[in-house]
Amino acid sequence: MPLTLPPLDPNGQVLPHDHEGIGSDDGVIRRISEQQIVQDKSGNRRISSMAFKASGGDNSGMSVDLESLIVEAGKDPRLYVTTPRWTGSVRFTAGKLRAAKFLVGYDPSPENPCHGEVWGAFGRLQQRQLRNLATWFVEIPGVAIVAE
Amino acid sequence: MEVWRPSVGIERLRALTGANVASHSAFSSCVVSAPVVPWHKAVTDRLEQLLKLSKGWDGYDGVAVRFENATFAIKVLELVFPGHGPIPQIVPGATGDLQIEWHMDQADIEIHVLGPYRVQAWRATAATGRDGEEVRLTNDFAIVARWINEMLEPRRAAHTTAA
Amino acid sequence: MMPISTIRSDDLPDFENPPLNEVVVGVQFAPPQAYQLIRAGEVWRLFASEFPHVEEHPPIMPAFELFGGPPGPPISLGINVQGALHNRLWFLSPDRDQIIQFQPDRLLHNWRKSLSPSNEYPRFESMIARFEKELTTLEQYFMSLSGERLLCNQCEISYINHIPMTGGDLPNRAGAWLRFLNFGEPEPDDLSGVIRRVVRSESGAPVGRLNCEFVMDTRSLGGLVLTLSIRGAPAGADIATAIDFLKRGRQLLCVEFAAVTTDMAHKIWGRVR
Repeated sequence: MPLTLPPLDPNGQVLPHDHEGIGSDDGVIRRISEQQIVQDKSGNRRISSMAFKASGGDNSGMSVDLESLIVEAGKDPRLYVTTPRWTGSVRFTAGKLRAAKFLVGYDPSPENPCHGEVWGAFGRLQQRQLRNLATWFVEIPGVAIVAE
Repeated sequence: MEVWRPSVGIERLRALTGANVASHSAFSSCVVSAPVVPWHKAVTDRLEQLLKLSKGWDGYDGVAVRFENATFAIKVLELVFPGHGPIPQIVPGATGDLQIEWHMDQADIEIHVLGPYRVQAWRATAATGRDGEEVRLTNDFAIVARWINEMLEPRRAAHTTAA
Repeated sequence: MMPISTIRSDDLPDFENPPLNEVVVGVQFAPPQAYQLIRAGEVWRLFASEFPHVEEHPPIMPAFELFGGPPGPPISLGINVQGALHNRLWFLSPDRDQIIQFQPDRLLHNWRKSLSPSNEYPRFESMIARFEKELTTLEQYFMSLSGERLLCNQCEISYINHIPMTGGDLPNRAGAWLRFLNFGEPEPDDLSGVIRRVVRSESGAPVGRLNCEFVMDTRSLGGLVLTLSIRGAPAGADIATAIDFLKRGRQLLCVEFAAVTTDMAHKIWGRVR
């Protein structure tokens, strides 16, 4: 079922919101670039905290792809999130994000009609929660999600 | 009305300089010199790579690191990071920002440059616990210099002992 | 913080004939996202009626005043990164004694005496009012592109003085002009140096750096060049706060100029306050 359009501010930017059309069990996918991989103290590769922060723009949240919209559009989610540029990705469920006090919203763009946004506090505790909630969706080989 | 004061008065200045006026490099916002410590090249190479990231590098709307943010990050490193030490890792943000990171046995330190004079610095050690301590900084980075010094201290001690 | 009046304070040192040769006020800001090199001509047109001549010069790298540790060796970051900075453009007045310098992250205004020895320094009060208008004009142009206001992150004010030391009865010892120099015999043939000091607010927080640079070369320069500058981040990102920084900086530079130069020099320059 298509999602209703999100609320906008006077400049046309999507306001932070929690979209009721995104179900608790719906997948929320966060793309992870090779640029966001660092080495920990043991020399093992893991995802940098930068990948689990808000983007810093106006009404800033963390960009995601909404899995249910991708499936409804008849596309393969793993192919969708590795196009037009291959990146890794991790997956959350919307309900668990909400339980961690994040908002899960809808923020479509012409380039990505399945684009969503996760809003909330992105302090250290919340970043650790995000890592613990995430599982690889498109794995970057040899890279851990959680620090040792 | 608030009054500004230089930190050293003219009499003290005279006592300090006397007849021993040293030649300093000319003051300029364009001081350029060849890198003299090992991590300089690695940092500039990485930053130049991040300045050239194409739009959408993160799979979304991510843009290249902004030039003024890269330059600001370099100025911070010049100030807080001594000549020899582990090469910092640098991670781009989605809106032109960047983060400088060290992950060592003694500490994890992350310096997130959101823009010139807009920095969030974080450190975790055995004493702070894994959620660490975070500070917001503008132009004074004394606390980061101290964190880095403390992070490097055991390495220096081990090096001295070995010698 | 109360803004500083543009009326010259009665507290500031004043001279009838100071050796002032150039004054520069400048603001650095985040380059607006919508600005591109192709628009440089449009920026010039904002000022062309009063600044009809144009020159190109190499860009100035972004500058920041930071505190909290001893500065290490400077690192070079290549500026041959596509789109990083285009050349610095000079827009010159008909007599070429006033210059607006523009690059995507900076606007500066220079007054200089050397090309027209008879021209009088327009005084800081009118210069800063004019510069504020120029900044506002530029901001309005950027806003017309994308709605972005100027986000100022560094301010700079410099007073450059040329002190002749040859000819007539002028003393040719550096120590006769600068209070903090005290060479024995023989006096050096030439010398140069820069002294940097942190400027602090009343609360003790660092707000910028005061630089005192001096170069003496009686053969090629005919004397001493003394440059006093203050650089630092304004308390806020808007134009008004940047202008406030420049006004406060100028007050300190006036006091410093009187403090670093000798009583004999003051007499020659006609100190009136």
